[in-house]
Amino acid sequence: MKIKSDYLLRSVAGYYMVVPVGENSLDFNGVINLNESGAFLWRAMEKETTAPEMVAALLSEYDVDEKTAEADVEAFIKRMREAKLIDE
Amino acid sequence: MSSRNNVKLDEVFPLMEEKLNSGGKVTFKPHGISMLPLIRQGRDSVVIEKIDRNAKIGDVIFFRRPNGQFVLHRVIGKDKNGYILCGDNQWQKERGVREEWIIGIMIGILRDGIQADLDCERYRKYIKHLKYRRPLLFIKYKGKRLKEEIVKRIK
Repeated sequence: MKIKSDYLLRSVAGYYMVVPVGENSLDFNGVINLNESGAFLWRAMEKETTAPEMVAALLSEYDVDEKTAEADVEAFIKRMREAKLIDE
Repeated sequence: MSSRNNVKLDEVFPLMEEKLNSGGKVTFKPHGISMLPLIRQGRDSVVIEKIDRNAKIGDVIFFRRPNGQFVLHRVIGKDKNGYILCGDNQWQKERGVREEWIIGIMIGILRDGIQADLDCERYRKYIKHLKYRRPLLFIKYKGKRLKEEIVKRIK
């Protein structure tokens, strides 16, 4: 699975925002805000990856236990799926 | 993972400006009650586009005051100092709004996700009725102040 290429991660005042690219209209009601670890997972999904690979990446980058990392990845994927941002 | 649902205009302003400067439109939910009954906080979104002409009376413009505050108000006049603006739910006029403060013009309102028609007779009538609404708002404000003063003196 992979994040769709028509969205861009932008850093805005200490947090991150996912905005659609190539559209003539930017709807701030539809943008998704991410914190630092969310942005990290977004970047991991910019290329083809799997949930276990994302958990491994999170564990190597952050001081978290495996259970927390798995829960975070699962929540992130669920949210991205709901927002229809993933190419399965 | 995500921390916020609402965007802060001053934080996203560079993104907004970038989109407007490239000829695009931006949509966001404004805060405040100054544009009632037209725009309701939490329910309505506005669509803004960069202005390529002088603003005219009746236009709703989105601008930034020199103190950094973002405002969405209606043009009710112009003099040598700049535009004269007023919110639809206000009676106090703001004078001296300069051309260079203007970010864009409101070209649409989304109500529960559905675009409201601003090019219709009903909207034109609404704009016309504002000139009668403002004096009434002023009378209401003065009446409220007078009542407060009387209550204060009685106590």
